[in-house]
Amino acid sequence: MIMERFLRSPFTMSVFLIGLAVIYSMSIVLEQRNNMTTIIFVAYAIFVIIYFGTMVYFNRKFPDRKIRILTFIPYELKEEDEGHQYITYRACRKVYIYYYFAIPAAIVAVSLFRKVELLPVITLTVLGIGQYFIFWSEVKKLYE
Amino acid sequence: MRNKVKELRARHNYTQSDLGKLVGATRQTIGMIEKGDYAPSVLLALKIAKALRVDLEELFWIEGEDE
Repeated sequence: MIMERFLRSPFTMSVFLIGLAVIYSMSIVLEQRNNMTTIIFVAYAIFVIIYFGTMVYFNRKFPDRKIRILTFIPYELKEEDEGHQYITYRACRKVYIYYYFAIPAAIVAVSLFRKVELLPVITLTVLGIGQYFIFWSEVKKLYE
Repeated sequence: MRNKVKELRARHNYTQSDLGKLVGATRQTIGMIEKGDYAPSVLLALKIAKALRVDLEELFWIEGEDE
């Protein structure tokens, strides 16, 4: 189901993360608000509205497959049965191993290039995208 | 572990979704079991065997051992 895949995709989550990083970076780099920052902010707001609007529509259309909007469990985690739980376990294990090495590497990178003002936010964004990519690389097995 | 789920499912004219519904699993899980990517729990294996009307040993066996 395309709609559900969009809502639960780690790549959709990456867009949320990248959007936040871009908005934050622009607020740091540009001293004054200009058209570009307004456009990016509005585009991000539209994306958020579309995302949650789609979720509301999906929940109405498929009440038996409802996605909880207010939840502490990330939307991309699908645990409908033991097969899904197994894939989630494998994906989370991979992500843990990734962070085991990536966090120290990120700390070293940020310490080495302390003068680069945006490096912390860039590093966090790259770490997050890596996490989503690794998670997706495992979860895609469900659809192969 | 190897299995004959795909073969027996086809014999009963069940789709993966049909079998999934019978045993309370998703289509994706049935697909992973058929491909050998996932070894089901004893409970699910028993449910699948029951749905396909065969003994468990006939459906699942350890690789290298006789079918």
